[in-house]
Amino acid sequence: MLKVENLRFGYVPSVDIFRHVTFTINGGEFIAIGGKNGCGKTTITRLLVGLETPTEGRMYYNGTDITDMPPSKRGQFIGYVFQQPDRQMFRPTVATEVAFGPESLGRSKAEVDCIVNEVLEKVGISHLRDAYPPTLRRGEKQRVAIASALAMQSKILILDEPTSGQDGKETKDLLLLLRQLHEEGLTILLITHDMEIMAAECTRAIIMGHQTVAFDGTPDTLFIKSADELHDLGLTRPPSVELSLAVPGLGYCKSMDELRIRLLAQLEA
Amino acid sequence: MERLVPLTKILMTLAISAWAILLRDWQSLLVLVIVELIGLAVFGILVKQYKAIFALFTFAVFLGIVQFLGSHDMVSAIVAGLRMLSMTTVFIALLGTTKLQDLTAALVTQCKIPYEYAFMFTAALRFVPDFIGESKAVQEAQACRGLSLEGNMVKRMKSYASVIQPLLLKSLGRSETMALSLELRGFGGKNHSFAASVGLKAVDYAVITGLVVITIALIIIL
Amino acid sequence: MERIEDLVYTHQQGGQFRWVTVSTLLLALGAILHLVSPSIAGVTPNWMIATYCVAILLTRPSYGQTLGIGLVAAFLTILTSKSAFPYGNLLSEPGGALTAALVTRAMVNMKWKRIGGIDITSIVSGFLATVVSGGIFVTLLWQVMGLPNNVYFFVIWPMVLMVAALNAAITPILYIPAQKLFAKRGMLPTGDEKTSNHSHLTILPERNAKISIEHMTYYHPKASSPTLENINLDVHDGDFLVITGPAGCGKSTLCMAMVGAVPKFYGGRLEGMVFVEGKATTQMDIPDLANHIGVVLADYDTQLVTMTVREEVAFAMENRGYTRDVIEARSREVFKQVGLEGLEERKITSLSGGQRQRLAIASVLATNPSVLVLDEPTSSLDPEGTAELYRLVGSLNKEYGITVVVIDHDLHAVLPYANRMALMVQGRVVCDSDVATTLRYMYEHDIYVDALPSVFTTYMQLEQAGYGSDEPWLSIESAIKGLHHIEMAKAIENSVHGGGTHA
Repeated sequence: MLKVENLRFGYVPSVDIFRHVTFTINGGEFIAIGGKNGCGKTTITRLLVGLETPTEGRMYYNGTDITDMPPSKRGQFIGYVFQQPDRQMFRPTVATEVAFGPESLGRSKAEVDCIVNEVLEKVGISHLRDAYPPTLRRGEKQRVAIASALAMQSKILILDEPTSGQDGKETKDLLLLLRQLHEEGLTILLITHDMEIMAAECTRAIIMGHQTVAFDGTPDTLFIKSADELHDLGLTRPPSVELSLAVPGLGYCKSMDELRIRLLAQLEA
Repeated sequence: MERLVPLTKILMTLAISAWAILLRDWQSLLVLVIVELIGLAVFGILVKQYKAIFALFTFAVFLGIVQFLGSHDMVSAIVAGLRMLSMTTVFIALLGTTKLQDLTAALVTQCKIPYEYAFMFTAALRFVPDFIGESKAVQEAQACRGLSLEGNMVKRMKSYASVIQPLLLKSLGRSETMALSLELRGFGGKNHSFAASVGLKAVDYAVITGLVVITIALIIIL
Repeated sequence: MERIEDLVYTHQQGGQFRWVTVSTLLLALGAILHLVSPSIAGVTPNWMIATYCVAILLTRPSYGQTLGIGLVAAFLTILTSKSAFPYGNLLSEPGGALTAALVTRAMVNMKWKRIGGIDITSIVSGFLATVVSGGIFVTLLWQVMGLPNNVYFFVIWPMVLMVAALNAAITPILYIPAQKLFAKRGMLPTGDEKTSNHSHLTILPERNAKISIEHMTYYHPKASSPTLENINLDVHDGDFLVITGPAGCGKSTLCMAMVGAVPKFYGGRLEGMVFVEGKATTQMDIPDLANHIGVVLADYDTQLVTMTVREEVAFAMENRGYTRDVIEARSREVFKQVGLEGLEERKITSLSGGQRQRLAIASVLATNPSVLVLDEPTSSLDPEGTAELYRLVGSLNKEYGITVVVIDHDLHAVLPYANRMALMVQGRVVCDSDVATTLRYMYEHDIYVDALPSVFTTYMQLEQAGYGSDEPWLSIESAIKGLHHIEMAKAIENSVHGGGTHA
């Protein structure tokens, strides 16, 4: 669906953040993008949405070359939720904020209303439609940002560190929402530092490191690598994997829930 | 230039401005401007601040043209342009070679400007890049949500307006946090001190004496 | 001597520096709007004038303060837009500011200040301030540069009036939303709230602690129900106390009470008392309290107010009049403590979020407080930054003996360093004990369980299923030990049980 080939980029002409970046994102994937601070994980997504232009390489969406397409056009198939959602809000109410995207695309008033109602319902913030976004709680702001991206009716949703700064409950609710959107057919790219989320929620992990893609595969093949190898990429094993390795015969557990169920089963046996 | 304390540089700025007003013929004003530019070049500011200097040149030319249109006198037009240029170029030297911290200390301890205002000045400068970042973030969010700014003037105005309001409200929200932080950190206390040392040194006295001599000489000659 | 339960203290909302911070931030805004402003037929509005008009309308500074605001605006214009005639600005901006203040005062009681339901004060002050400021500027230019009279009267003045007309339009665009926000937050000057005076009372704490909060109840201004209710909590020397609880439980308010900002900055009504080093906070000023307790606010970014790292650390010391040598020595010490050595000359805007957080800590440590309070310090840090922050705070607590109070909802990273944890629900402290006990309380009473580290939750679930460990799982290491313990117990049970059937 979305294919990048041999991308190269640096904010300063002579200093590359990364080069030789090639991967394909297929419909229905739930991808984690990880790596150390400064490895370029946010940068690569900025290239995908067109906020930066690669120094080399091409990008394709369903076979069409989109390398030179401006972000305003790409918004129709890629939605972006920035790291600090409150920085991307600029309208007086939640409903008008969410309506900005479809309005810019030139949809009619009736269509816009219909889309806004639908996405507010979908992310569960219909009751906040007249609220002033900056006064909302962090988790609610995050939902407004997601609704705004969904209102573009895009096929791919990119979220930059959506769980940072959220408390346990907000994180849990957010993951529930993302899981539901994924089941409805949305492709999700999640930039995250949270190993538990990477292991438990994602179907694939793309790890940036050594100025290129350092790993691309399933989380379970990633987390059985040695602790040193993981450390080198700025990763750690999530607790469930670490603990499952400590119990012989338990096998790889992607979440603490799975660990508990298997452990109890083993103990009862 | 870097070895002079800010007060000397402020006095130098005032002196050169006074000379620019005292000198009435275009030849000596031209000499003054050239000397200033050489000074800037020697202290390496000319290259760093070329944009600002270019802007001043543009304004000087503009002023010269206005003068010419009004008076139809080429000489007075050139004098006006050069006078403007010589008065403003020295500000670039002042600002380009002085650390803000030192300038603040000089303004408060030597020019007797109340500390609150010196503080407001530097604190405002501290937040300028943050606000630019914030406005960029909003513009990026708008671009990702389908706003294209090509060509259309009305659209641009609308987008500008939609950036201003959240910036304004956010900065007012921050003002409360900042006010609390100032109280917590003892702002407004009576015994304010400065970490920067801006007392006059021998070289400063020498330069100031030179400035005074030249100024008095010009007043007598002209 | 007073009975602590009977003490009541009210304070009006808002500190004494609102005019400083509102003007500062609005002028900064004016500077950037000026840089990026679109122009109408080559004429742009003067955003700087518009922003100081708004600041003056909002905060009603004295005339002296008004002149100062104008002077700051002049300096900013000279520095950011390379004014072509700096001396002009130094006179014109204070003139404009003074005009705005005069108009604001004059129009307060005027009948005709509303036209069609709209308050026209901002329009009038925006227009007149621009006319006066622009007038002073061009008149000086005319005189000093010897401009021809016809140019001055028929070219330059019409331009001044055009800009003034544009400013008459943009000033209300900025002012109306700002005024609404101020009104909503109760930040407009009203003067109807009273401030109590406790200086004549003898107030002694019941308990002996570094900070002791006794029978404390707090109402926000105009609130009918309390935000905090009958709080009794002590912070002892050397503690690392974590205060947690669901959003809106009052944990941040409680931490503001420890430094006197509740109620001295936020206003409202305090019952009972908060003592710091045995002294009642209502008998101390905020800066004096800050000598004992350093606070890093949740929005630590806004707490940083200078250009460079070095100045930031010197700031609080300069305000207290420390000598140059002391400032230098103390700065060196705190840079070492927080690990910012080598970054002293960096601009604050060039620092990363984690570094700014460290700098905020360094700047409050500069005046050598014995307690460090951090309000939601990790809310804008990633897990790596969070771990680093707590390593730092942990070392300040262990190696330098600084008492630490942390308000946080991310419990995972802080656990290894904390020795106490208090849980708050709806304005009350419901549990205050060692970390494991409070976590267990949360789990067993089903309070804010989503905040529990997943490892601890699993420990509790296993215990409920009949598989207890000998110590609580507060880290991966203790969890591995616990797992081995469970397996061992099971193996023993199996062999006993197996042996039993055999016999």
